[in-house]
Amino acid sequence: MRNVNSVFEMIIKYCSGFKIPLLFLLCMLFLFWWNRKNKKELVYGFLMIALGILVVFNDFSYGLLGKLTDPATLYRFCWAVPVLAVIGYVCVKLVQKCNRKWQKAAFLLLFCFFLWKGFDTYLTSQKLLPADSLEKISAEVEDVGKIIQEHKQEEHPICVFDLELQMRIRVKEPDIVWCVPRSKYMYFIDNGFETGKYKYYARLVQAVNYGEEIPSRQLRRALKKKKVEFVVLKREYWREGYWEGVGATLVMGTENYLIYQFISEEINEQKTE
Amino acid sequence: MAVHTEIFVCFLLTLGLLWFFYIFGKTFCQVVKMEQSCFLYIICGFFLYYSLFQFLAFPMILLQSSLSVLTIIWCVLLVLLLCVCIGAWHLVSKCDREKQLFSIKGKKFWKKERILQRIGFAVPILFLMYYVWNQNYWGWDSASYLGTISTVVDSDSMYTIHGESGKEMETIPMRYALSCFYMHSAVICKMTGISPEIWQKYAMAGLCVLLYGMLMYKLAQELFSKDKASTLLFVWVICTLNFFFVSEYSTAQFLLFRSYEAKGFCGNVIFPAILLALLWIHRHPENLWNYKYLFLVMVGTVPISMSAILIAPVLVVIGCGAHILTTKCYKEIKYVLCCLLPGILYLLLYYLYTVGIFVIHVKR
Repeated sequence: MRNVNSVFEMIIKYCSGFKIPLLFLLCMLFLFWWNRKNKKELVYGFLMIALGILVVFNDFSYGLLGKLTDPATLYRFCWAVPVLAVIGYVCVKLVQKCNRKWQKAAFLLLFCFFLWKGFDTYLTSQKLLPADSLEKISAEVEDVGKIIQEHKQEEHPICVFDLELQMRIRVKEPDIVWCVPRSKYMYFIDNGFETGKYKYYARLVQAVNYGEEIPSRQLRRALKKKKVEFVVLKREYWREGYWEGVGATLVMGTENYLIYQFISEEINEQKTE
Repeated sequence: MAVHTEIFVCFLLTLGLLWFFYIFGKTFCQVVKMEQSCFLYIICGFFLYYSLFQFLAFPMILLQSSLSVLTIIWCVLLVLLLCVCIGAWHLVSKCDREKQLFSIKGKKFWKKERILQRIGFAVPILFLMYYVWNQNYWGWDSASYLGTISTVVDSDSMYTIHGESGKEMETIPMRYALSCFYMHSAVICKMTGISPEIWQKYAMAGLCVLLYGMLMYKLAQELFSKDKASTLLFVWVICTLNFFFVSEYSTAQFLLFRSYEAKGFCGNVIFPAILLALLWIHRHPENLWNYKYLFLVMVGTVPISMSAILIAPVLVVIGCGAHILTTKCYKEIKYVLCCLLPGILYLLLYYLYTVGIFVIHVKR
């Protein structure tokens, strides 16, 4: 979770809005009212909340914990708050209060209607319909990996991929080495290329992930600098003679990708020696 | 291996894992004289199993042993541990065992009410599983964790190559190596030849959902004083609520889309397990096994997920602190400190790593 400066902001971002925290708060109030005569439970509840706020959920602790650990992961403290369990508990308590079966059924139906109309849901037809394939990685990713394996000159070839393929390829072919690290990819996604930072990575990502036409000399220099052996390009980004002009050779293609090999002069020289 | 065969093998292996959890958990529950229930056996067994694996795997990671050696030793150790567990069962009086067998085979098991109860529990959990198996969330973390398993299996070395990018490591990355969750998956993949993504996305995701369901059931049993109808209703309601907690960071997201990750287990298994312990401690302070169960969970937190390294001890401090202040049972502080010990130890190791003291260079 990025760009968060306070606990309040974190909670709202964690819950993706005000609805869930509001419902949770109402449920907590209901529980306090429900247990108003049970002093021990009341004190325990208050102390839990007070200690929670004192130890974690205040801006001072938030800042302090952010220095001890990665601030982007601090939202995970919210996982320890049983938001859904409290809402569920109150719901079942209210069902128990209904005397007759039809009342219980009506309450549950009303609750479902309230959820359906009031909240966003993961229950969409797209997510509910059976997946096209049981495979979690498409066969094409495996094919790209095999082609690289067959043609590689280095034991661990350094390769450039578009984002989708990069995230999957190493699960199938762990010998392959990413050229553009995750941090750089994320930097470009967040900040674009105008900052001028990481220029070699920027050229490679621009050419391979976005299909932009980078001057051949600049691209060749980036490929050499980063010791890239393979470039896997989406077919839609193909341009006649462009990659050959950079010094790459088309090795093979799959349905959606073209695999270019770039053998630098140094490697060629080593081979001839 | 064809994908159907892989999934079938995953299913059989998950059943095998559950059997191990059951045996380990039952032994633990009997030794500490805890409440006897099948769900509790599996929950305790899960934490015990991963703790034991960590005791073996972590030193081997530091010694930079190969995955093959770890796999062989773990298999041998499992057989030995099974023998120890069965031996421990024999210590339980014969009379008790006969009573248990009779109650399972003869009376309770086939009662219509119990069958309906089982179906009532299974339906929402199976629906959750179907939903989880149907999704194919893929992010940077998926690339990192599944890449790690794949790299470890392929290179037969643990954490010497960066799992995400494939670059060679200079030092062992303790941020990941302190938790052996993914190494266990690598052991399974090495043993069986199953692809990491199939194992994680079917077997581990299914396991996470099942454990979540069991924990919610136990939590509901405690909250509704074992009223069966309310307990089942709570499980149904909580499963439904998960579909309406739409947020990139919520526990629901990690249950429905990322349950194969250690983080999914952290939010949906570890914290509910700690909350269950806190509830028991507060409601039944007379039970001495409450703290033994909490200790077991705390030993198992980091082996299962590094995300819990700081949050689990904080949760225990808050929960137990509130209980002790309410009841003024200050003598329980020593039990709480005992439960915090594993967490403190892991925090200390991690701190030493971050300041550059506990650094292991990779041998080439």
